[in-house]
Amino acid sequence: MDELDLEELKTMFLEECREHVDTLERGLLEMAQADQSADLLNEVFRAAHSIKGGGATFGFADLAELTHHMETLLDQMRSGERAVSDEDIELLLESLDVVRELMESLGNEDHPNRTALQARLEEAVGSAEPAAPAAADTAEPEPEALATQTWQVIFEPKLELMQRGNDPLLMLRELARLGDISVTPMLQHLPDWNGFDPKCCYVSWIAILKGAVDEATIAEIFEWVEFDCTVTILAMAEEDCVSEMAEQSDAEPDTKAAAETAEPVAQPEAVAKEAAADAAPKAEAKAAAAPPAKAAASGGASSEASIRVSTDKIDELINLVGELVINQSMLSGLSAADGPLDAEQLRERLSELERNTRQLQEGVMRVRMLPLSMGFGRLPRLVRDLSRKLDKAVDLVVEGADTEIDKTVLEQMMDPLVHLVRNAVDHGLETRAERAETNKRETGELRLSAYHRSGSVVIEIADDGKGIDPERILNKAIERGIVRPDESLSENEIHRLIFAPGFSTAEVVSDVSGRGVGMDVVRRNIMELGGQVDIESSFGSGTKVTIRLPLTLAILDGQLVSCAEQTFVIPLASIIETLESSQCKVSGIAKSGSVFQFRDEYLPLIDLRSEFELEQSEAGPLIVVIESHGLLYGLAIDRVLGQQQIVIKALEDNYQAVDGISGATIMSDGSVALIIDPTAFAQPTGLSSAA
Amino acid sequence: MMATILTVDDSASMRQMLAFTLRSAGHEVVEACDGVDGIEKAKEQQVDAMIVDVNMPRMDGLTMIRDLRQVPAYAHTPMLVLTTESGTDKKMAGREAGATGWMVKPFQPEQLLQTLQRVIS
Repeated sequence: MDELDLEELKTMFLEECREHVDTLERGLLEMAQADQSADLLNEVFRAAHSIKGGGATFGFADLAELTHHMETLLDQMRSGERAVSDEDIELLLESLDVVRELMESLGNEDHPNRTALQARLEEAVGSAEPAAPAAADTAEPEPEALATQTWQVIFEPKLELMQRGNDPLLMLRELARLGDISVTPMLQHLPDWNGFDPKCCYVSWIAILKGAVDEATIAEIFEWVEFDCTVTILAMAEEDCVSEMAEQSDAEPDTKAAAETAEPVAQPEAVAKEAAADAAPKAEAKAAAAPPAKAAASGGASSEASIRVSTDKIDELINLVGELVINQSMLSGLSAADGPLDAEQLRERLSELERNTRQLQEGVMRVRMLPLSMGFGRLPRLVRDLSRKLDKAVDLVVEGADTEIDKTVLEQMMDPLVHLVRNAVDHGLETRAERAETNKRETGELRLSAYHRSGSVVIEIADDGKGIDPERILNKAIERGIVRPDESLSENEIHRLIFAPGFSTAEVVSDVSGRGVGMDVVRRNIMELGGQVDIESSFGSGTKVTIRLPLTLAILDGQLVSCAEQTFVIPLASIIETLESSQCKVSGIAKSGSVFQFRDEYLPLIDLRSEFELEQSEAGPLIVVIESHGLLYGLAIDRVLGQQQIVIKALEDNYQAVDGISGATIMSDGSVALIIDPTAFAQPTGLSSAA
Repeated sequence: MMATILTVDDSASMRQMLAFTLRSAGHEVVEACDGVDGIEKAKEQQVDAMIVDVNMPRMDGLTMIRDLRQVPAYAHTPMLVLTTESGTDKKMAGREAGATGWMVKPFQPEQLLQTLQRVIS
């Protein structure tokens, strides 16, 4: 870092803050659960303290002030002066929400509730607190113009002054920076050579300082050694000054004069002007220095996405690259050797290379992986708030929070996950009274488990609540026209109906789960991530929703297809099935293209040839049925090739964005295949249900 | 004038801020993320001064200073405490641990460098 990039530091600080806020929240919730161990209290205190310290340093004054008040309250708890009460926790949690919002505004906006919360915190602490430290850029008041004055400073260190790393000469040098100075050592306490301990300070000094400084500035130099010395600071009157100055010219402090320092002090007014002139450029320089910081703060809204990677992962990568380099040099050696190529060795090296490459690929993928705990962190708070509101007792059990998943997948699955947790607390678990009636434990259990299973991350949200009443669901579905009354469905199929678009089960829409956005949105979001969601329920004893997500978005399970001699990739997850077009009724409709019959529906048929202007000939003989955003359609292609895992490359970076194409990949023979974007061709048809 | 300075703080942004300020004045910087790490780094390489945060996980700054003061190589090394508090009891606690002095957060870079001159030549 050549220049101080305040912007970057701020981003870094805010990232740390997020961790501290999570620590605080988790800690406060644990404290509420009656865990008030010293370790926990310390950890929570430290988190608040770090936000305050960094906030003040990086110019987040409001943040620093609020966390200062929180810290004071936490300090009382930590030191045992104060018992941890529910009200305090509630107040701290409320403050934490404001902290979060202050952070998100990047310090640009104050929060309307901040001062009120601070007042409440102050009241809780029991006495008015001194104001929090202000931000760095306001900390230093403009220096007042001071008249030049002469000071006598008598500095008498105790013997042990140097034993904590303080150096009297450096303090005198600092004193010298404040103006014209003359210093006289007093050596009368010097011991004999034999009794001399080099660790001790035997000398005292008398300094005569002439400068535009006040007593406090001088005293500050000695503040660290307050208890290791005696410092006497005396303002000298003009006439004293002449005589004193005269006196100190000799080695002995109590005697005569030095002519050049004995000149009378300048007229106060003139000096004041001079000092003011001195101060002005300083103020200007400060003003000039200030704007970049401000600009950085306001420009901070576009915070660049970054990720913190543990050094273990990086070390592992470096190791792998090391192995790759060794292998490469062995391969070069093999090809450079005289005589015929040793096929056996070559094969061995190549299989090693394959292994290295795979490991390297996995290693690089892991860099983007974050533990689920990063996302799960907000759930305990959510569950606590909800259960209080609904008067339910809920135990949240989290398992496998260290399971890692791609950062983007993690971010995008949070909304669906929050929705599912909300649903479980709101609709799944019963109130205390209801549970008592059915002989269940008064406290309901919400279990969140995560684990890796065959290349996917599986997250289960299970509750021991009332389960899904299949009859009620079925009736509702029939009422909504989602299912025909004469259809016979298995219990599982009935459960899955709650994922159908426009299906909402809550008879009274509560303000917790909201209206409208239902499980269909959850399902759609998860599908968009290339994942799947399923539900199991047993009426009366609980419900379990299982989400299966890909480990990463950078690798895709693709179906290769060909059309007009071009190879395309279709994401496997979006394919329902493949049909021969001769086997289904295809009919052209003027202007709006063709449709084909699929089960009981007519679906739009998109011809890749005309869509991508490949060549004008008949549409291909095969139809791939694709589902996207809950809509079905067909793509006409020529041939189905193999399935394989492909690495997605952005087309925008290497060429330009193309409608209908989400990216490209490089095939094993080096050719490029385009990846079809299944969402691009999905359109509502108005043709559903058989004509 | 140029010195090797050990900075100990659990906040990476704070460490970076310190490192930048100190390097801009020509100092060498060694960074540690808590007291345990700080002691390790100080033993690996003799440093000329230290700037140490108080509240840190694993080992706090004052404990670290107290421990290092017992090491002969560091008996007289300046160790500055970086703190948001400026109350007398906090200062006394620092002094008892063997701290040379303290710097109050937030700091201005110039201020930090100037204060540092009080302890390094």
